[in-house]
Amino acid sequence: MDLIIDSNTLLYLVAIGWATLFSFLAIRTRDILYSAVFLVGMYVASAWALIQIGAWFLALIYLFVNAGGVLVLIIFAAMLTRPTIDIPPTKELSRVAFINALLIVALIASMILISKSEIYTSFSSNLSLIIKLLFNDYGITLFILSLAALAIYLGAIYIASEEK
Amino acid sequence: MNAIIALIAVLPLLLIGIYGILARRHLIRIIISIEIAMSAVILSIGTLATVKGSLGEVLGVLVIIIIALEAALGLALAIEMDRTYGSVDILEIRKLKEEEK
Repeated sequence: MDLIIDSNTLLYLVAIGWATLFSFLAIRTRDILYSAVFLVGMYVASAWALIQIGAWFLALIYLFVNAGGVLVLIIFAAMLTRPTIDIPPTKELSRVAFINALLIVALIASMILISKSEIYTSFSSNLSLIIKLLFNDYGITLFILSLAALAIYLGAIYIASEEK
Repeated sequence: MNAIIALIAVLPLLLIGIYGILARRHLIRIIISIEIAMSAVILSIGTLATVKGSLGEVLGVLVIIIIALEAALGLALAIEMDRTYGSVDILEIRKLKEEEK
C-alpha cells in the first residue's frame, strides 16, 4: 500500500483539518448565528479540499448550494426562532471572518492552479462527461429528484406558513 | 492523491457531525450537525471521483440536492415547532407533549 504524501495531498489534509476545526467550533459555540459563521468556514474549507482532489465542478456546486442557499435558510430560521437581541461584533467573530476571507483567497488561488488540468492534479472534472451522465444515464433519477424537490419545497412552505 | 488517506482524513468530520446530532438538543443545531456529517459524505464521494471518474461527481451533485431538501424541510419544522410550542429544544417539547397527555 503506497502512502506517500505529496504536496497536493498535504494541502488536502490542511483543508480537511480547517474544515474539522470549523465544524467543531460550529457545534461548540453557544449562539446559532456564530455557528452559522463557523459553518461558512467549514463549507469553504471543504470546497477547497474538493478542489485539491480535482473535482472543481463538485466543489462549485457544493459551495453555491450550501454557502449560498442552505446557510441563508439557517440564518433566517435562527432569526425567526430566537428572541431578537442585537449581538455586537466581537474580536472573536472578526478573527473568524478574517480566517474565512483567507480561506476564500486560498480557494481562488487553487482554482487558478486547477484550471491547468492534469498538471496540478491527476484527476480533473470533465464537464461534458458530467452533463452526459447527469442528463442521459441518470436523467430519470434527476427527474424523480426534481419532482421530490418540488413536493418538499411546497411542503416546507406549507409547514412554515402562518395561515393553514 | 491517495484515496485511503483522503477517506481517513474525512473521518473526524463525520464523527463531529454524529456527536452533534446525538449531543445537541436545539433543532437548528442538530440540522447544522447533519450538514457537517453530510459534508464528510460529499468529501468521500469526491474522493470516489478520483477512482471512478465523473460518476463520483454526478453522485455528489445528487447528494447535494438531497442535503438542500433535508435542510429546507428541517428548518421549516423548526419554525413551526417554535410557533406551536415556543421552543426548538427537543427535550423541552417532549416534556410539553407529555404534560398535554
